[in-house]
Amino acid sequence: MHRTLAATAVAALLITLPAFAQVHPHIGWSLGLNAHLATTATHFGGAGISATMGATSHNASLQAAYGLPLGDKGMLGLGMTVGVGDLEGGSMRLAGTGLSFKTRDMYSVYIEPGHVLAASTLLYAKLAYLGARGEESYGGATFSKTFAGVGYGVGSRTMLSRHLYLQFEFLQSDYEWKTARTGAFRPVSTTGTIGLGYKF
Amino acid sequence: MKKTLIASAIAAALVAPQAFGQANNFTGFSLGLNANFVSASTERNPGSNKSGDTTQIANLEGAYGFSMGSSGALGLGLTYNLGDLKAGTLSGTEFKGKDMYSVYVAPGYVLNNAVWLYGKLAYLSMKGEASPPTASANFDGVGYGAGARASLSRNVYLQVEFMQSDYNKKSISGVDYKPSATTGAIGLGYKF
Repeated sequence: MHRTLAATAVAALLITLPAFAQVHPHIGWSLGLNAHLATTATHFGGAGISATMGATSHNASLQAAYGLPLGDKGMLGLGMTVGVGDLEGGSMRLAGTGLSFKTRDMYSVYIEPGHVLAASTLLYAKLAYLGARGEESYGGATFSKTFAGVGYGVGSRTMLSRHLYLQFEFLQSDYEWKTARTGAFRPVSTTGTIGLGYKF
Repeated sequence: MKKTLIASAIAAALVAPQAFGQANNFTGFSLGLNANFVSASTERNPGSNKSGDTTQIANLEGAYGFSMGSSGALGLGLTYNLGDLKAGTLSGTEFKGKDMYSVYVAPGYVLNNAVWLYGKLAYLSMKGEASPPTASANFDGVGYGAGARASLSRNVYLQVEFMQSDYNKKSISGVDYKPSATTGAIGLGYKF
């Protein structure tokens, strides 16, 4: 799924860049910086028990995107984000020893169909392929695995000036089960985002 | 804080409707229904355990929007959750939030009378229940977030929002619980 989404995004960019005029202010390249508030629930199964850890934390991400027009009022955004900072996934006691989990090196590749309302505000839905490194800490040692997942959410992006935009968004992220050292983990999170960006 | 917020909301609702004109499309009474995607975490002591879970839940929202000049709006409102919030199971003990409500203020900026961008500060309350054996305590806390409400027609609006909720620590059966959550919401409403 990762390769298919990435290939689709690149192909769409190469084919369509010269073909579309700038019909509304969200069309074209943009770069943004997002602040995230997130709560992660990490499902765990191992050593004969099942439990769900959880924690609330915050981090940031960089976002690069290209907006393609879909008629006068529509837009299809293609983009990617790269996380800056880790998200905690909770902690518990396992056989008398502390076990904790966090997600690191997060990134996403997404498509984002949207509709432009008056006042240069875009309302959009988002479907994302997610990648991250999940790291468990147990008894002073750490062990990590790469996780893939799917994210879905909605948001709004408003042009504050000709080039500057403000965006609000929430995203529900569901990662796959992966077996690490002490057991299998599956992180799920809800993320609220506020971001500022520059539209070229 | 709870009494102050509620008193402020009631006083403002009684005093201010006559004083403000209908300066934009986001003033006046509104009722809405929101779908919430919530991930919750509960810190438990002793043990320093952090459990969590994810829930989809709906809530009802009633609000009154005041005009603040030609481009501003201040929303005062209430929400009530239609269901329970799962907040984690650890060592066989499940923790959930019940009877959840919020009282909020939401100052914001209205763009072209079509979109209201707002920040939100809320007083939160819920009954936190641990089971088995079933025992509970009332929790209160603070929520903060941001959102956008867009008019789809003269009376119907669509709203997108996220909120971070932080509850105070309370003890149930000798165990301290401190819940927190991140909520993403999408809602439809009617503006009278």
